Amino acid sequence: MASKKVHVSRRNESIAGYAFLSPFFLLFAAFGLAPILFTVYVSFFNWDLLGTQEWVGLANYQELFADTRFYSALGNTISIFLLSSVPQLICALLLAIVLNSKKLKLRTFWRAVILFPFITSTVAVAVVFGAMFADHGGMMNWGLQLLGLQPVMWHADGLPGQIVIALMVNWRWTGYNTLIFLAALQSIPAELYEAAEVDGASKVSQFFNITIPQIRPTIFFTIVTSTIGGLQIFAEPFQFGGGNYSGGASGQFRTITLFMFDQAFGQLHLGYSSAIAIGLSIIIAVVVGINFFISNKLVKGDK
Amino acid sequence: MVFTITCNHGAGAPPLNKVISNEGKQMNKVAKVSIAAAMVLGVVAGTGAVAAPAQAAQNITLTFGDWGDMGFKDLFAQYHKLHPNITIVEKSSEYNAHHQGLLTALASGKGNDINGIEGSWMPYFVQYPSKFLDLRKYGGSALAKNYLSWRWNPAVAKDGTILGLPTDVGGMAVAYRTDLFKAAGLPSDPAGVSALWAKTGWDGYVAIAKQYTEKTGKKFADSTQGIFSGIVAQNPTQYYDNKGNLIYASNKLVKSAWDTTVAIAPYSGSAAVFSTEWNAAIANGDAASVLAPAWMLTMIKGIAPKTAGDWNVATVPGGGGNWGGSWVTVAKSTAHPAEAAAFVEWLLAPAQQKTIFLTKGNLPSAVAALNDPAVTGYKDAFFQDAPVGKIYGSSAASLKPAVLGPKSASIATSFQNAAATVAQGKASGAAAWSAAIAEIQKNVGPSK
Repeated sequence: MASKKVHVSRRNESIAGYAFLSPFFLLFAAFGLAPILFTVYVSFFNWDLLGTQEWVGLANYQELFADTRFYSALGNTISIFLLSSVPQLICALLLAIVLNSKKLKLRTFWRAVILFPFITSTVAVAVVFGAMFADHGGMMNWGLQLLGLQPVMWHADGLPGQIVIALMVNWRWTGYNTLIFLAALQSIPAELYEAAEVDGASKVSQFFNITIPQIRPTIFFTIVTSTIGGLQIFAEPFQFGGGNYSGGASGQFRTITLFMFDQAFGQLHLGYSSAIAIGLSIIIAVVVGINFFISNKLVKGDK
Repeated sequence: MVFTITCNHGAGAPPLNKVISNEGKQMNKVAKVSIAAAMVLGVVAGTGAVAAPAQAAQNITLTFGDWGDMGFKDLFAQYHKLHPNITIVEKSSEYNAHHQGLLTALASGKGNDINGIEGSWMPYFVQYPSKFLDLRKYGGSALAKNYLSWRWNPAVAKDGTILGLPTDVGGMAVAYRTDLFKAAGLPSDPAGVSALWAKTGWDGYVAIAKQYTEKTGKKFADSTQGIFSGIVAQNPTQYYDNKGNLIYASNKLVKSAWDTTVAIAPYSGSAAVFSTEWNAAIANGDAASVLAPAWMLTMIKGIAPKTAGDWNVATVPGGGGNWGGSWVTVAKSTAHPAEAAAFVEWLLAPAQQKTIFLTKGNLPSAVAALNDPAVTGYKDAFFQDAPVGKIYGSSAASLKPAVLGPKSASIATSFQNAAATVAQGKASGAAAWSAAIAEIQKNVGPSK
């Protein structure tokens, strides 16, 4: 009798537990899982959204593997990702250290200011950057010409366009990552630094031997989130290209998400677009996996 | 009596009100009557009398999805004055976002009651008449004769469904800066400028462009994309033949438009039409001429208000054509089909199209409005009193524009991008052509 009672109450408990958890799972199922499964489903069809779905099996994936545009978009995406994430995270960490310094005056003010770019609309950012980096009559080319240099065709050339897009991303996200780093820095016990001071360790040595190991999980977090964000970059190249899905006249800054969106709503190839989406998620999973593997190694190597 | 008129409109009696659609003066009368009715109703409702519930039941809000400025804003308010129980709420977004939103809305059977559809999207939507209210059920068939047939027909589906009524016509001309032409030693009066290429066509235009750029170091044309779109729009066939087969690679007219565009490229800007940089070029005088459908004049006024009085309008090389123009449609999902259809009919009736032309510059597609003396005699002060009504109006009636297909817009985009790479000096004409054909083939399939 007694054991049965315990069993029942445990069961009730677990039902209650699941009930409390259910809002998340229900929302995730509706807005996360269902669209993902539907994307997989659609990728096996030819579909123009209003018409009927025509089963084509794996043809969309075959087309994707053979499509040079996919590989060039992948290259552009990785290039923009590296141009943005690497300098961005380094700058964010350095800024966080400055903001964490007790010598800094008006600390709260600076901490608030650094988040301003993050709350600015991407479209507004893109319009301003687009004007600053205009091929003809832009402020940057005006400056370059003052210095006696050749103007750069930001919109027409490949790498310069990608650099401008990376700058836009950095301008927006550096402050955000700075605050995340700052929170991590503040959780490092002051005793560690005091002990290091007593032992005569230099500031640089403190940075590499205390700061970096202590905030390693946070570094990993920022790398993963900026990888996921960086590989899905859309609004900046879209706006920089004049609201065109082509990503520049010769697709020189066409990213994978831009390519995916063009196929969906420019060409109305919803099936092919879904195949691109699945391809992109696999790529992101692989890159995040590599990140995880490397970070794991580093942590273990430390011990 | 007064009261009944308003009621009939609101309750969705057959909305074909010839009084409203045809005769401006009588419309005013109706307006006054409706306002009077509203006042009466207001008083009655205020005193808590019987009429109040009846009125409440008829209050209707119609949502109207459009992009940018289609020129309708003032008319929404005017319609509300005529029909106090009907309120039009505009849901405006950016061009692409609007059409994509419409796609998903129609697919899910929800969304705005009324939607604008731009010319290059219509060939796609017209394949799916079941998503739209068939205006034949609301007297639409009788309206066909009021509009230019080539503006009417593309919104009629294969099964005969009338999806929407046409807005404006994008007949073409060349807008140019008289001050810049003068400074470059070119004629600056419209007759003189038109004569520069009256006999030689696009070859003459290319020669003048070369002369201008060599003398001033500045670009003559605004955008290779615009030039290409304009020349293609003059052709009797574009990317589809009359049976609907793709002929983008084999059509000699497309290749010839391409070759002309490539010839103009060194003397033309490369930015996409409507991009920030294109806007700046127009405002700063970095382009001496713009290939301009009637709606383009409105664009120029909006982006370069400081250049008022610097422009004039000449005839276009190569003959008439149509670039742009839209339709207004009613979604099948609307809860108020009769009211929505009545409103669309009123909105695009000749009297309203005339108002839009005189206030916004969009050229009417309604024949009565096109022939209206106020339209044909209209001169635009921004363009040095150019007789724009005459320039655009006279060509619109005789146009026989090409048939567009569901993928026309996609094909045009690829060609325009390729033309931009030539203007940017990134590719030769031949290489860019091959790149465009390869891209188009991937997107829409092979050409016949």
